[in-house]
Amino acid sequence: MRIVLLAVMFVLPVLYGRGILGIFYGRRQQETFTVADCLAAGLAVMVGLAEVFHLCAVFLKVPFSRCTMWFGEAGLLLAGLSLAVCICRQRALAGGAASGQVKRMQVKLTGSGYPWGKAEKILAGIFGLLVLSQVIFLLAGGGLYRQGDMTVETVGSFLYADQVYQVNPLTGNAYQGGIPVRLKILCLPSLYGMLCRLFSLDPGTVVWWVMPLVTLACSYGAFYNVGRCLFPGDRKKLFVFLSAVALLMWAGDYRFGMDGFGLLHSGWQGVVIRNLVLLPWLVSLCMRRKWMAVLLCVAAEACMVWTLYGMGVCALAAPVYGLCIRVGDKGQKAAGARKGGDGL
Amino acid sequence: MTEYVRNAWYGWLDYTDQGKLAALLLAALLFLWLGAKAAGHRQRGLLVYSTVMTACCICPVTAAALMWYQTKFYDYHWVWSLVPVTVVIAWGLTLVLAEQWKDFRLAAWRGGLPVTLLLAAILLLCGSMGRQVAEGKKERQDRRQAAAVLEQVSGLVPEGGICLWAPRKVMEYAREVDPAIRLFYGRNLWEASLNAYAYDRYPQEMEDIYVWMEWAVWGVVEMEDSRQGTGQITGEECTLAARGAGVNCILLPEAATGEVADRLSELFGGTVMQLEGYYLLTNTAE
Repeated sequence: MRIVLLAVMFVLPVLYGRGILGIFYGRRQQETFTVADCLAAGLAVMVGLAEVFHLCAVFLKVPFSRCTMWFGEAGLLLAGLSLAVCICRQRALAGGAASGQVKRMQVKLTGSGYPWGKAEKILAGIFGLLVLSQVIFLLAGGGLYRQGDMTVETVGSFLYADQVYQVNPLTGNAYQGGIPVRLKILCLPSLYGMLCRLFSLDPGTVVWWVMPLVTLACSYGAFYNVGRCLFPGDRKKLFVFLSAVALLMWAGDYRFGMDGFGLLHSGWQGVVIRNLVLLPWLVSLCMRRKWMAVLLCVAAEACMVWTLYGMGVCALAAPVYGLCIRVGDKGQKAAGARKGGDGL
Repeated sequence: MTEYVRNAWYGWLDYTDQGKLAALLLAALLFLWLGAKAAGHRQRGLLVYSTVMTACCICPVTAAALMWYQTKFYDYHWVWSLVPVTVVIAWGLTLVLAEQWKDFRLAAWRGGLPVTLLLAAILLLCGSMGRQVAEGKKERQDRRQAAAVLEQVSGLVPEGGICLWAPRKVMEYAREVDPAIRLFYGRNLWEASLNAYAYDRYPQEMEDIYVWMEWAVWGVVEMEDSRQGTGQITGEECTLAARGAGVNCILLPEAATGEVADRLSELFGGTVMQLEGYYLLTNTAE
């Protein structure tokens, strides 16, 4: 069942992502997004969906089992709608005048039209081996970091009590002082709980086994997008960049809070998903100036991480990045003008 | 604000103390700025952003402002989420390697391979070098042992509704293994960071009870009230407090001896059974 869930956690987000990016950017631009873009966007949509039913459970006191049922139904409905959007876009695009233009744009961005050289294959192989080593490490349960984390207990308490935050997950007894409201509305434990119930899995399997693998895949997807923006059309540099990222993950597992540590030891936590999926994806979006999709990152972070009234890292990073782009552009123009002046 | 600034400064010292990726980030930024003229507008934007954010995270005043922005819930190191550390270092490494390998031609291995190996070594030396930083074999073994004991307890108390008081070794994993089991006190008693998730606090007496049980693991148990005035809690007091809080199962470590188990069982008002490594005291009547 865990393999089925793993497959679902890849297929559904890609579908959702295709749908939402299609709605945001229309048929032409949608085609310039990669599967990795769709995966990250779809994950954000899935988190948003879970948030809706989590809030139902928290504030309307709807039983958790009913919320799970609604979540499952809404998830399927959304998948159907996304599929319909994708098919409509595909049909509209096929054979149209825009088709050739879009393909050219894709080739320019990804270098996908060129044959693979020997060096490219070797570099892709090195990257693949590094990722494989991390997957094996995660599958072997190579080191969970539970300190300061009670996700499994929280998910277990939701499932057992069939209610959300009615008992203290650490003792199973009723709360005496309650919990902060900002924390109460974070939906990741509910999402994991719903997945547990829908796929008949125990909380430990979903939280410690499935989610770190999902985060790993989405994270490398996000870094792939950044690499594509940094080295457009250069597959060799792209794979060297990704291999360096993978090596940095191994090297950076020395302390809590580092990217590598999060990826290899606590991939289920909201802050880790934010740092390894949402932020690299946000960087790639800012580089491509796709500001609408940035909103997805901001919203997803607000649903997963305790932020200042929803204003999290993504909400700060995007405007600062926008400002830096302007500064960078001005600097480049000024340098260009000086060069021109010197020439004269 | 002064406290925030002080925390930001000590946070930076702590951040650079354990690993050296921060130093590598600064080196990468310097390298990228030296070649910034060749960078396109996309790359330039990222470079400016990374530099600004790095400066903000290092400078105590701006770091303190960022810490305030990210709420008191998080420590200093989380402000570094704003800096794409991994992206910048990997970007710098890629450009160095591209130069050494002459745009990744296999024929250029004489210049490229030694530099690649050197950089990989530097990178790995910046990390933990395989030092165990998270849960290891011992924790996994402890979890398995706790699960086995809890399974026996659940089997012996089939009515359910278990409220347990046991040594930390068992309590630590009890709620993960079986959410049906309620506990006298939770993991947040010995893991203070977990207290951030709730307003509930334990009284001092609960900490004394926890200490008493942990001493019992080593066979050091104070039963009689012989140390009056010393402030130490006795076994009787602990048992009565547990009973009063609705505990119906006590797992007493074997090291505490059968005599102590019998005495506590009398007070607890139930039966005593021997499990592997523990005495199980049950009082399911209440």
